[in-house]
Amino acid sequence: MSAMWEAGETITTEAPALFKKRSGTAYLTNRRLAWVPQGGLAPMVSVKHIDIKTFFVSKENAARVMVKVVENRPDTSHSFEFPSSNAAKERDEFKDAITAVISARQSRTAASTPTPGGASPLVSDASAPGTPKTLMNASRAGPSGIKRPLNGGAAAAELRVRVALLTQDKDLATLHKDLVIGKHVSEEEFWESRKHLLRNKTVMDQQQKGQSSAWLDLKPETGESNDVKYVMTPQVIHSIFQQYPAIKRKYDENVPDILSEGEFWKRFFQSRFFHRSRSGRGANEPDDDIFDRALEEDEEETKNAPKRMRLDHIDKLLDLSTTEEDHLESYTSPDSTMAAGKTKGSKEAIPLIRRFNRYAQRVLNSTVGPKRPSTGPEPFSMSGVERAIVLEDLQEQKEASRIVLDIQDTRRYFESQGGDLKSSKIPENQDPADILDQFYRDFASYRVVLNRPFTIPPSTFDTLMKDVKVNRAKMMPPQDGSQLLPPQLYQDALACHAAGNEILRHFWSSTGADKAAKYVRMVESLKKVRDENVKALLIQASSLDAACLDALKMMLKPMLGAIQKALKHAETRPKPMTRKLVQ
Amino acid sequence: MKDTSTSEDDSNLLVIVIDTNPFEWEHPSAPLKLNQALQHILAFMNAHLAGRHDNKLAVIASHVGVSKFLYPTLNELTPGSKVQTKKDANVYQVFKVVNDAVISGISRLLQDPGPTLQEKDLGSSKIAASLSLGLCYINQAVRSDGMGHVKARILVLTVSPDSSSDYIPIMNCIFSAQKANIPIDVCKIWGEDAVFLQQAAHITEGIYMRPDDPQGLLQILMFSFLPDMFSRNYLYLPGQDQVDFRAACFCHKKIVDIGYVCSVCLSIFCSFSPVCSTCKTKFAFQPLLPSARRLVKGAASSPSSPRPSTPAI
Repeated sequence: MSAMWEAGETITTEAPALFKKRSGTAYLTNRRLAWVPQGGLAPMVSVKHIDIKTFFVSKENAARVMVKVVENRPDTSHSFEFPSSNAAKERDEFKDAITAVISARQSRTAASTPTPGGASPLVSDASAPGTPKTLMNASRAGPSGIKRPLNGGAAAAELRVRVALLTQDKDLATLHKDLVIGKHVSEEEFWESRKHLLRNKTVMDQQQKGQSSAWLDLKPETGESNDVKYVMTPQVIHSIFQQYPAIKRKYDENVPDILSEGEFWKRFFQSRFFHRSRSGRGANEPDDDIFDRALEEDEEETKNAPKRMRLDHIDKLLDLSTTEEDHLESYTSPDSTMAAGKTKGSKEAIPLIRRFNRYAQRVLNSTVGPKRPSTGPEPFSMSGVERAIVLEDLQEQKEASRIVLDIQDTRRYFESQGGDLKSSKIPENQDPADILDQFYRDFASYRVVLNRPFTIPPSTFDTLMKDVKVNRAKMMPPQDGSQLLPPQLYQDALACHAAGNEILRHFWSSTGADKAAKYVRMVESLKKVRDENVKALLIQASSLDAACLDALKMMLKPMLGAIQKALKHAETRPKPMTRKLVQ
Repeated sequence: MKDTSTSEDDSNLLVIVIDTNPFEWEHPSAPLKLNQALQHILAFMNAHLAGRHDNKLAVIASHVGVSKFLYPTLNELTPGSKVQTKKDANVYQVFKVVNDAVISGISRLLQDPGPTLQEKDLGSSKIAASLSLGLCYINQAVRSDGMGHVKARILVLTVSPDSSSDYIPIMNCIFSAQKANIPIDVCKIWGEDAVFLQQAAHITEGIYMRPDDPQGLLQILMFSFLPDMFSRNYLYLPGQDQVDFRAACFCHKKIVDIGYVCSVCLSIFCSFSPVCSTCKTKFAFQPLLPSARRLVKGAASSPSSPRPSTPAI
């Protein structure tokens, strides 16, 4: 199938269609519109998205249901007729899909990005030299990974990523609307500070989905009239070929010369090959010379053990046979449960296990590549073994030569924390010994008696309660602006706050001499935010009630403070230089 | 804020560190005599013991030059030191043992001025030593309790100002307590705020109190420090939680927002010097790029740097 579709191409819409009175199937993939004749391997008609100029559909009640696609090339058009019973529906699907393709293309700016690798040669690129072409899908960049931006292509790609980001992130879109459309910040400046978002998005878009490693499970869809329907997509067909190489061989031999593609698959689903691993169906399938032979081949393949690997150059550390001498003393019978083909159970299981193994190997090969054949005998190197068995933790550690921390005076730490040095004051004229003596006599002269009433001043309780109340107020969950303000006003306040902060960021980043013009613009924007946006909010709030106004004022206070500070900075900034640059 | 590691059935070990600095208690301006204060403190201890049958208590005296266990007395072999066990019909025996042990212990401590007079830094209490003793005692108690029921806390009743030479030992104690989940409650009975202990309470999630009037000490103790760790989940307790963490530079004692920090000993300086004056480490690199230096200077001159604001509510 890989011959038919390019890598990374996926089918969005498909339907049986007549083209020049030949029956076949029309496909719309993520890259092109294609038509494949019945039993054909490659598309006979292939029109890339960018080459679709326009298209026409037949009238709702016309006798024949048709779609006509006009290419950009002069006088080139293709008409497809939908012959099936629900042709109208199929036609509409195509109509919608192509409309989407064309409108998506028109919404993008015209710029050219070279398409790396794998482009279909069917479309004449030369027919429209210099025609701007857009990259339809970032994933098209192919396995080479991140696409290399070239000339104008980068701008177009970035523009697309920006649009995608804005549609994804509502908050960002609001901010963008406020700042860019409100003419505070230019488009470029807005994105300048969000380069990481763009980069992230680009990388995410370019990540390709790998091949599925799931074991193919063909499940029929059961229709209303108890008929069984298998849906064959290129992916499913690809998986069948991956899993059963015998089928791939038969397909290559028979299609399309002997059998048509549909016929081939129809017979496949009826064959013993397909049903052998399914329960519920006996051997009542009709004989089918193609698939019965495939079955034989397949079983032959799994019956024979795969070629033994040459075991000459096994890593010494993995070679279990080298430890054999350690087990001579044991008298237990050898374990044959894991020996291939020795027991009855394993004999039955082996083909299945081999099948799984083969599949697993294929999945591995498709991702990590085939195993490299061993390149001759590896010299038995002691260093490799040593590396593996020597434990670093058991080695004697060499003492690193350290410098002893030599702190001259730890009091300095205290001083940096507690301010001035202070200590208990001992009156100058007194001998410490005397004080101690006095202290002892005082203590001894008076017995501590507990069964005497305590005299607690009433102020103690009041102070404690005041303290408790303060702490309680602090522990209460803080009131959120969303509870204090009506939802719409709260949203507006958030947007205003975000916009203000963004402008502030731009303001402070433009303090350099080379950005004087932007600096002046930001000052104007800040003034505008302060005098217009915030004021409008406050007027709105004051029309509601006083509590609302207070809450709003409190919310916006830090931002207004920051704006004030910024404007003050602007005033004290040496004027002549700015003026000169602005004029 | 509810701490699920505590439960109603916990046995509470309260380690009380009493600061017995004679130079503070005996100071003419002291609002309370030691034995007056002891009356309050002993009543509080008894209240703690009365709270639950398995509540435990340890009392450590933090004196000048020496720090000692007052209760329980650990293998004290001095003659005549045996706690009097004479029964008193009017007093619950457990209370009496504790009261007698504390009073006689302090009395013995004061009797011998030797270690105090040998102390170089006269007037600074051995808070760090007492905290270490307390932490060791708690560690022992928690380990011997296989059920994990013992929940310990430390209460420091102090009158002394911070002792500047004790900074590093105290900080080590604070971090050990924090790691072992032991809150350090602090009551600075009078005087200036004790900066280290304030930080100790803050870091270990204990309570710091500095009463305005120490005459009502018993009420303050009962109100703030009696509730055990489990009850604290449900109570609003007095105590302040705002701590001044601002640092001053080592060279000029100026409070700085942005400064230079020695990468070896963490000393703070307001300007770059090629040799750290605290630990003598030599720095072989240039301070900062000119543009960055300008930024630091600008920020240091206006304390609140121009930073985008955040919503207040």
